Amino acid sequence: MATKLKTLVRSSLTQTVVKIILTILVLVVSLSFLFIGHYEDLYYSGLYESEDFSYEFQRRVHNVIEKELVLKSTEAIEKMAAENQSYDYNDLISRWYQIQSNLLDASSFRYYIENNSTGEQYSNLSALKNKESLSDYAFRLTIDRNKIEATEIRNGKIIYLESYSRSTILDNAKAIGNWEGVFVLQVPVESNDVFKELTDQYKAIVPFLESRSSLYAGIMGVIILGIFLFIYLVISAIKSQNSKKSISDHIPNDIKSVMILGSFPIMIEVLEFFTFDPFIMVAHQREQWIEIANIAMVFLWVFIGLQFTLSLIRALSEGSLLKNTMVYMIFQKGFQGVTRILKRLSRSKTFRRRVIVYAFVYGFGNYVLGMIFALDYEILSLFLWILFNALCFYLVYRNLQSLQIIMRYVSDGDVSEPMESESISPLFYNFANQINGLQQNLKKAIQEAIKGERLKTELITNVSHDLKTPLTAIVNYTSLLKNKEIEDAETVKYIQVIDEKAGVLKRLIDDVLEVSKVSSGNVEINMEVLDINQLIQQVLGEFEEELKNHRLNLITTELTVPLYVEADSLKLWRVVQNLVSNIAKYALPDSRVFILVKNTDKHAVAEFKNISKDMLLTGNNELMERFVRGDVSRTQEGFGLGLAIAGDLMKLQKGRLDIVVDGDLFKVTLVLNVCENSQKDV
Amino acid sequence: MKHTILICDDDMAIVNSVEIFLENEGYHVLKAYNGREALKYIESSEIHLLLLDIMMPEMDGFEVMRKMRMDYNFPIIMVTAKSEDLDKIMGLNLGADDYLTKPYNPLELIARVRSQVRRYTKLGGQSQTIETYGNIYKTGELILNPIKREVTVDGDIISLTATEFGILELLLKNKGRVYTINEIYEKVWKDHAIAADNTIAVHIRRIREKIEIDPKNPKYLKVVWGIGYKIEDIG
Repeated sequence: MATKLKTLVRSSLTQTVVKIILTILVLVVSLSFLFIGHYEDLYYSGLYESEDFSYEFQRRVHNVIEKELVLKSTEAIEKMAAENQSYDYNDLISRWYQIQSNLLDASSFRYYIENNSTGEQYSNLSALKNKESLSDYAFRLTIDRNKIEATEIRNGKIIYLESYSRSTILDNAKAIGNWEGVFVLQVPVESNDVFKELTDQYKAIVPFLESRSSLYAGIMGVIILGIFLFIYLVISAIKSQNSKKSISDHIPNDIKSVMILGSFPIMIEVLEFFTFDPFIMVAHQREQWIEIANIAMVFLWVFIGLQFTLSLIRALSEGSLLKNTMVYMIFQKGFQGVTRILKRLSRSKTFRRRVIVYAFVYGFGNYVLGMIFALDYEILSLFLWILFNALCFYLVYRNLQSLQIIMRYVSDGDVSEPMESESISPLFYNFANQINGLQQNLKKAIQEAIKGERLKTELITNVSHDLKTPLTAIVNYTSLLKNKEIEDAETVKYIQVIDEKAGVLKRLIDDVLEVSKVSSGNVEINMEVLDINQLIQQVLGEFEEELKNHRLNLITTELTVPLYVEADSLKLWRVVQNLVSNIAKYALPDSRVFILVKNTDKHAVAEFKNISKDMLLTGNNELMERFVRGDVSRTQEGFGLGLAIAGDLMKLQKGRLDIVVDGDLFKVTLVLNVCENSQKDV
Repeated sequence: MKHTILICDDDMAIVNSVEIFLENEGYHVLKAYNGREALKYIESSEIHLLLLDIMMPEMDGFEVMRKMRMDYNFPIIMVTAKSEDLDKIMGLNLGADDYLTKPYNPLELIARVRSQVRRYTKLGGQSQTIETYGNIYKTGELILNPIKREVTVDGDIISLTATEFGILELLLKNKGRVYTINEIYEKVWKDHAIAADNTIAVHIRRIREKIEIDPKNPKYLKVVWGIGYKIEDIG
């Protein structure tokens, strides 16, 4: 159970889910704070003293006064404009329509006005004949010469709203003429009424804000939960250091940081524009989708930011925070490489001097051009500046190209020809010459190495020849001794040993000669098309008696079917002959010997398998090494050189020889290229 | 009549041992230790065969051959420590009749000396003619008479089994041409090759052991590895 929980905790799916939950929590907290910040003022001031409401209401008051006392009607405006030149008709008429539409948007706004100068009364309720009849509305604003009085009836009590008496809009309205009036708000019903919107909004938010304490507690809980989740993510991020890296781990750390910090103000902006109105007010509901898109964007941002933050924390715990940054990489790869090259180059004194001169010329050129610019020849100097810098960049490019030519020459490693120094720019000319000097030395060294190898082969050849002459004498005299009639049995045995060892020595000398020739590649290979099956048959014919004498049971694949390969017939014969002779010598008597030839698409594979008579001690590859024999105790014959030669010969024929020793099973595999168009053209 | 053999080698031990072998075989032996001495003997005595070492001080074997070959036609067996093909070819071109590489088997040396001396005295050089009965097939000193069903090498009759004779007849009739195992099977057995045994290869080895002085290094019946067998066309 515990382990199950552990794997659950560690699984990447869980981590992703936690990340999403944490992102949601962050979003919830920030939206909550945003909500509170948005509507806190409204809640504390109450509906009627809220900024929006009092502004909208006072504006209507001013509108009504202006309409009734100044503009009156469209005809009156025409007349006014005609009489007095200081009025602009168009201004007045557009003001008229503005006021009309403002009043249309506020159908719940009611008023009763008396013009003290003319005694005229205005009201948008025909039933209203005096201002007292308006006294029982929930909100009432009374204005006369002496006072501005706003009252609200809440729970049967009259509450005076002070903020209205300090209003500049109302002061402006009062300045229009000598009037007094009462303004009230009916219960709004029409949906396009601005006051209905404000009332609805207020009603919607009040329940939330009334239970503020529990809201805060909720937020606190969410924050604590979020912190716990974050800690979990941090720990699992640190613990999973060696696990697979996510995409965000591949982004350099500084880029990640810049992305997080750089996008922060943008996201704040997005959140500041965010309002809850579409979710509260019916009239704004069409805008819901925009706000949801905003939230989705913020969600994505928080999620990616979280991912990046975790990745940064992980990098910090790994100690790769600074290493895995763009700046560091640039510094590491680019700057360091450049400095290294420059350092190497600047060892040549002339190079350093030249670079300093060039840098000075470049700086001075730009300075002069800057001066010309300052002297107001702007276009000319700009043109010259571009020309000058383009020229400088071209020259730098040319020089770098020379450097590239040099580098390519060095990295190619073909030292047979010196580098063409014509294409090298003068700055690097010395450098190129030095490299050419190096090339000369290297060429000489290679030639000497080749010469040394040839000398070695020659030495081995000569020594072998010199060994043969005394060996001939030994063989001859041993033969003479054998022909003598010697009665002493011991002596006969001794002569026998000398005879045998002379034979061994002869073959050893031949093998040494061949090894030195083959391994130095000093062998002529005549590749031709031949039938490997027939070759094996021929070799088996040669060894038929020996195999029979050792009572070896030979099992082969069908050898009468030709399988044409590309090989040198003499060399391949040497190889196969060596293998079969080894089998005759070392296979366990009365055992089976397998010679299997297969045609695998492009290769002919011939396997020689036998059970060794003696224990094989050496490992597979050691068997092929020179002078190492399969078993240490093999003293009768064979020199181990055979397999080494065979391996080299196979390589020369573009083939392969593999040896496998598995217990007493000794298996040699020959691999050769099959002749593609195997025609029987003998 | 005792045939005279001149041995020329700078190694006294070798010369002495070879002398014993050849004297045991009934030859008269002259000994020279360098090229100059050898030339003196050639000018002063009748020689039936020269056993000539190549690497010698003062005058080497090639030089000796070059100097004497114009005037004398007795056989020369070249003895060399070098096993490279180039040396063999050079020696044969300069007029050597056969070659041996050191260290050689003394019995092989004797066999080759005997073969060359017999050819020189009985068949070749000194005017002897071959008896011919109708059609014979011949390469070098290997002669096959299909009517008498007889095979001789250097004049010695070789006894072969019927199968061996059949194979040799096929190859000698078409000397120089390479026959694959399957072809030999079809031509001699008049049947398709069936079993995956080594019958032909074994027969060939047996024939070689009978007709060749050194079966490992055959003169007449050659193996073309991976391709087939042929009789070398020597003439």
